[in-house]
Amino acid sequence: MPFLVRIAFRNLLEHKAKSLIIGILLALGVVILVVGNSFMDTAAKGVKDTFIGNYTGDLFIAAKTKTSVSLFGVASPGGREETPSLPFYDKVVAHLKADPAVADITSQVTGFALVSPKDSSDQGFAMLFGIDPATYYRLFQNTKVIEGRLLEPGEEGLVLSRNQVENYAKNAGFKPKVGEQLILTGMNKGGFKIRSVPLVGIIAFNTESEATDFISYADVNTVRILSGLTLGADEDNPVSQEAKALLAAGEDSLFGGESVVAPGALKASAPGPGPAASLAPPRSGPDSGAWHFAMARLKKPGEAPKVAASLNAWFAKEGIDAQASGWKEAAGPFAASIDVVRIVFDVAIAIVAVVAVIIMMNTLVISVIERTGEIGTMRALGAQKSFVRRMFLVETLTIAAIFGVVGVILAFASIGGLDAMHIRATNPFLKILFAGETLHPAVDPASVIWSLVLVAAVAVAAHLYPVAIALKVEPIRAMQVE
Amino acid sequence: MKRISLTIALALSALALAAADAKPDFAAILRQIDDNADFGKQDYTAVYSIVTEKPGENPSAIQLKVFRRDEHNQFVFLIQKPDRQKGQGYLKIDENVWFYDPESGNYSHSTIKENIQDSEAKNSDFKKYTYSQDFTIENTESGRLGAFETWILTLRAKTNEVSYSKIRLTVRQDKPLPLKEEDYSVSDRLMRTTLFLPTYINAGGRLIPAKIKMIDEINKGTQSALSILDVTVAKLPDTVFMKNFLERAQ
Repeated sequence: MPFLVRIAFRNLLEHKAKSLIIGILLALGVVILVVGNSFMDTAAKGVKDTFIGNYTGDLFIAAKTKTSVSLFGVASPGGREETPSLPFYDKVVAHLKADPAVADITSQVTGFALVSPKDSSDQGFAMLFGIDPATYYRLFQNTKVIEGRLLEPGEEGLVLSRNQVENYAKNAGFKPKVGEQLILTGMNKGGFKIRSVPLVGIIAFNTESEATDFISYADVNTVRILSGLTLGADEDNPVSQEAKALLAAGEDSLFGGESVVAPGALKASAPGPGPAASLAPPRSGPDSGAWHFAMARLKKPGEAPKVAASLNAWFAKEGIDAQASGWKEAAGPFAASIDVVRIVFDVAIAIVAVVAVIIMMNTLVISVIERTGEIGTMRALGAQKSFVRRMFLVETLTIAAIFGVVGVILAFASIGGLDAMHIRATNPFLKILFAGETLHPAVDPASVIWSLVLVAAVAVAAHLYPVAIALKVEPIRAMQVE
Repeated sequence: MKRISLTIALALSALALAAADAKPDFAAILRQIDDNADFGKQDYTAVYSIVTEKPGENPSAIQLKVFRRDEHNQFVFLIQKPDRQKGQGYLKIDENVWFYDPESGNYSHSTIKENIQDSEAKNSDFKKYTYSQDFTIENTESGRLGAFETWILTLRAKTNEVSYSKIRLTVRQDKPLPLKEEDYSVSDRLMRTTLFLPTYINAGGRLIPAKIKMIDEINKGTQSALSILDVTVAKLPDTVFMKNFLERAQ
C-alpha cells in the first residue's frame, strides 16, 4: 500500500491543475457540510435545550387527539379544534409520582386571549399558560423578573413577557403596567368569556426565542374559564326540527315562492324576558381538576423514550385515552420547523453532491484519458486490472484526505469567524435557526467525521466510471497512444 | 310585402333593444333595500334563534334578544340561551361594539365585523343595512333563483369598515328584497353565502326575512340557520341602549 500511496502522490503532483480542481471541490464540500451541519446542530440543540429546560421537561403527557397536540394546543385545520383535558388526571399524576424515573412534575392549561386595558378598544393577543406556580417554577426556572414579581400559589393574576409588553406598545396601542387590571377575553365552544386580572409582573425569558415572545402566564383558574374548562357548563339546549331542516335544505328548494306571516305568528320557543326582566346567569366555576397537560422532569433525561413507552403501555392497559411523548412533540411547530430546515438542507446537499460527482467525474475522465498510455504500459508489463483500480482508488482517497482536512480547517475558521461576529437574528426564522438572539454555532465532532466520509464517498463514486473507461482500452492500443 | 316585413322586423328589433336597455335604477334598488330594513323612528325588537352546525360536532343553538334603534344606529343584543351565556350581551355605542360578560361584570371591545359567538352571523348582519352607503355598484346582471327572477348586483366596498370587500347581492326583480348575498375577501375568494328565505314578517310595513341561512364557504360543512321571532316595533326606553341596561339585566 505505501507503494500505491507513493504512486498516488507522484500522479497528483504530475497533474497539479486537475488535482487542484477536484481538491477544491472536495474542500468546498467539506466546508459546506461542516458549517451547514453546525448551523443545523446548533439550532436543533438550542431548541431542544430551550424547550426541555424551560417549557416541556423530558416527558409530555396529553389527551389523545386526532391530530398532533403540543404545548400550544391541538393542531387542527383553521385552529378550531379545542384541546381536550387530560383524562384521569389524578390517577395519571399519582402514577407519575410513583415512578422512580420521574424527578418532578407540573401541569398546565393552555389558552388564548385578547388582552386589553379596562374600557379600552386597544387589544393585543396572548397565548396563556395557566400554571400552578408551586410546581411550575420548581420545574422551570426559565424567567427573570424585570418588574413586579412572579405569580404566587393560589393568586389570580397575569405575568407578561417583556417582549409581549413591547409588542403591545408598538402594535396594539397600549403599554400594560404592573398592578393594572387587564381585561382578558377568551373564546371557546361555550362562547366568549371575560376575566379581569391584575398584571402581577413583567418577565424576561432566560433563553429568548421566537417561541417565548408570545407566551404569558396566568393563574390556572383564569385560563380554565377562558378556555371553557368549567363545571356545569353543558346544559341541554335542544335544536328545533325546523332549524335542522333549514340547515339540510338545498339552495333551490328554499326559493319556491313568497309567503308573508304576521309579526306575532312566529314566537320564540320560550319567550325571553323583556328589557327590564332579570336574566340571572348560572355561575359556572372553573373545573379545578382539569388540566391540558402534565410535564415531567426525569432523573436521567436520556431515558425519556423508554419511560414514555412504559407510560403509554400503562395508559393502554388502564384504558386511559392519553399519550406520553418527548420534548419534540411538546414543542410542536418549533421542533417541526427545525426538521423542515434540516430536510431542505439535506436535499440541497444531495443536489450539490450530484453536481460535484458530475464535475469530478468529468475532470477524472479527462485525466484518465491523458493517462491511457501509462495505464496500457502498466497493463502490458503485467499489472492486473485490480491493481489499476486500487491505484486510482488510493489516488482518489489521498486527494479526498488532503483536501478534506483543508476543508475542515477552513470550516473551523469560518465557524470561529461567524461566532466572533455575534450576528443578530433579525427575523423570526433566523431566531429559530440561531436558537436565540445571536448566532453561536458549535461543531459536533461526529458531523466532521460524517462530512469527511461523505466527501470521500462522493470522490470514490466519481472515480469509478473513468477507471472503468481506462480498463476497457486494450494494453497494445493504449501503448500506441503513448 | 318584403318591405313591410323588413319594417316590422326592424321595429321589433328596436323595441327589443329598447326593452333590453330599460334596466332599472340599481342605485335606487339598493337604497330601497336599505330603507326597507331601516326602522327609522321606530324601535325594532326581535328574538333571533341561531343554530350552528359544524362537521363532526352536534349542532349548537343560541337565542338572542335584539333591540335596534336605527335612527341613532344603535343596537343591543342580549343572549337568552344557552344558560351558560345567559346575560352576555353586545352593545353598540357610536362606532364601538362592546361585549359584556355578567360573570366578570366586564366589557370587552368587539367590532362590527366579528362573529356572534361561535355562529356564522356577524354583528354587522343585525344592524340596519347600509349597502347604498358602503358599496358602489360594479356590475349588474339578471338571473333566476328558484321561482324568482332576480338582479345580481356586484358591489365593491367604499370603506374598510365593512365586513367584506366585495358582495354579490341577488335581489328580487319584483320587489327590492335580497334573496342571496355572497361575500368575498379582498383576494376575491368566496367567504360566506347568506340565503334570505322568501318568508317574510310584516313589521311596521317592512318585510323582514323570517329565516336566514349562512354558509361558511371556507370551512366546508359549517353553517348557521337564523330564525327571527317575536318581532315588534314598539318604542323602547332610552336606557335600553346604555351600558347599565346589560348590567341591570342581571
